[in-house]
Amino acid sequence: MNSIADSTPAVIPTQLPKTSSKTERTEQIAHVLATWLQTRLEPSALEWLARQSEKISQGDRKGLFLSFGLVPRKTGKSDLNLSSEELQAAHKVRPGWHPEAWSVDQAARTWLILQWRHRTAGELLSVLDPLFNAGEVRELVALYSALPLFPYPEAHQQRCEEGIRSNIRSVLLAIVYDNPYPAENLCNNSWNQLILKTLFNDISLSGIWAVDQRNNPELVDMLLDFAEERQAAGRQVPLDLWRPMVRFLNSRATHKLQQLLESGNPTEQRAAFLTLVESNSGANFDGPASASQLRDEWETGQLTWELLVPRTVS
Amino acid sequence: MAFIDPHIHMVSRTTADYEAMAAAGVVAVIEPAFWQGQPRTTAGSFQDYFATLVGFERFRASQFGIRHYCTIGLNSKEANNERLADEVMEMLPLYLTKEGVVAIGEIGFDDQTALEEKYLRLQLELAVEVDLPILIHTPHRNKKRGTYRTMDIIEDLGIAPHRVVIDHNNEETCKEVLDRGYWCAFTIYPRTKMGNERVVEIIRQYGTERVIIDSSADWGVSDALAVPKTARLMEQAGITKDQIEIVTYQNALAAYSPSGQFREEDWLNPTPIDQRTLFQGNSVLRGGQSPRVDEAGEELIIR
Repeated sequence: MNSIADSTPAVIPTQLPKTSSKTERTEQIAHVLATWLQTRLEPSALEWLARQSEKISQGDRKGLFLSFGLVPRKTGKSDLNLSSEELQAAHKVRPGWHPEAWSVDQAARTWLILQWRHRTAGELLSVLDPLFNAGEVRELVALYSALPLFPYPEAHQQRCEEGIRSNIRSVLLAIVYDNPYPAENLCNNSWNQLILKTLFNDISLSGIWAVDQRNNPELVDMLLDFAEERQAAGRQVPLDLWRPMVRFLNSRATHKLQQLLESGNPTEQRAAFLTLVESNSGANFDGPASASQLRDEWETGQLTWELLVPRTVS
Repeated sequence: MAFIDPHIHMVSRTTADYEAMAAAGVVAVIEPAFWQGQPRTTAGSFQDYFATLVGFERFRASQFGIRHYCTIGLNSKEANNERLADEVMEMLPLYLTKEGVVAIGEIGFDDQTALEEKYLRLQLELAVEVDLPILIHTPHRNKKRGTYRTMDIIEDLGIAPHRVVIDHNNEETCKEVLDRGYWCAFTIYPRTKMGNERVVEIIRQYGTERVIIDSSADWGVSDALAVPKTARLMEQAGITKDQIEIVTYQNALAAYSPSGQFREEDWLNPTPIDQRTLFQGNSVLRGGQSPRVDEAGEELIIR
């Protein structure tokens, strides 16, 4: 496959080395990435990538580390600007993969890692760990965004948890936004930390993949404590703090939401209404004069979490 | 006026410094890898330090709209621990090729021992291999001899002087450094290095060609605003704006741009991905503030 590297126009291999242990999905992901790069990069960059791939697939660790760092110098740093067909292809090979904001260097870096041969999770981690440990900001963004694309999902849990502790905002965003890995793989405690950390950093929950699927009673208690802490400090409570309580309301939560619905400001009333109505809580909506208006907005799709608390941009 | 501080150790500075620097017009900084005031004892400490330089510190700067770059190298003091030095040498190639690494440095002499020379030479050769500019730290003690000896070694290896910034110069070293064709940097650092009244005189005497002003502010008593303050002092001394811009911005840009990692567009017109990842709080991109330095008075003078 790699011999194609010498032909013109340059073509980069679109399949993983045959000896690599892999799932069909990983192979498809590599293929999709290669297709995107193919149509966007100059021949010289494609040739360079093909040469690196050859080295990496033969087990050249140093080659992977060096080329991973050098990628932007060869590919530039433009956005991929994927078409809707290309995005659909991404979603098809990896449900939940949303590379809308990916750049060419990010795609090339991910593709290079997928060229590494491995028969076990340990063999894959033997290159992923050093890359993570020495990563500069944009490298870390690329690595964490690619977590859902790597095989052996169970082997990356600790790494994902480590990333959630990061104080580098763009790194945190790479994990929490448009990334199906956390929702699919984290235990409740780590998921709850992710939600809290997101809110704590003033990042809207709206960009989190499957944000409404992992709600749990413990998270509700943590969020209520957080809300009270903010109130005690005279700080604003994020509007979407209530969102993960949907379907898991306890009496303390219901009481607070009812209060908010009656005496909060208009946006707080909307957040409270959404939480209560989506929980089928049987709450009493007669109180506020505006309740029927909120119900109208909700029924006509004008009141959603995404509209109320839009995605954070950066 | 926009400034570059091409030598400052931000890991030791507070967010108040970052705020003041941004307000004073500093748009980009270069953070050379150095020692941390006391010797490290394990290679892991270096690994995490280098990772911080290309990771968290880059982010921290971005919050204030300042673009952060670094140089990577084994400093002269810690070159004297041979076992450790060998381990650090082994990890350098991984970091030298990272985004935003604009030179190998700061390297050079401290006590001028044989081990210091060994690792200086090895790193100079490495700089040639990876095609990066070089930042030289000149020693505090026996300075003149150490500076000349460093240049002799560089020339012995056939490295062109325009690839090399020699830093921490003073009245005694600068003529030779300039005559031999190197970038000649002055560190405005109270008491132990250069004062800014003195540097004004030096610029009057030698001009601005290949002259660079920096702060080297670190964990010691130093001044993160040394570059903008010196610019103000030069203005008061009647040095033209063009000349001030050359020594506080243009020359640093020219000296480190051969790395391919130091471009004006990075902060003037960043790519969308850079804008998303590295400009969370950029005041330049979000409407801007009017740059200022503390008004004249004793504050402005660094002796």
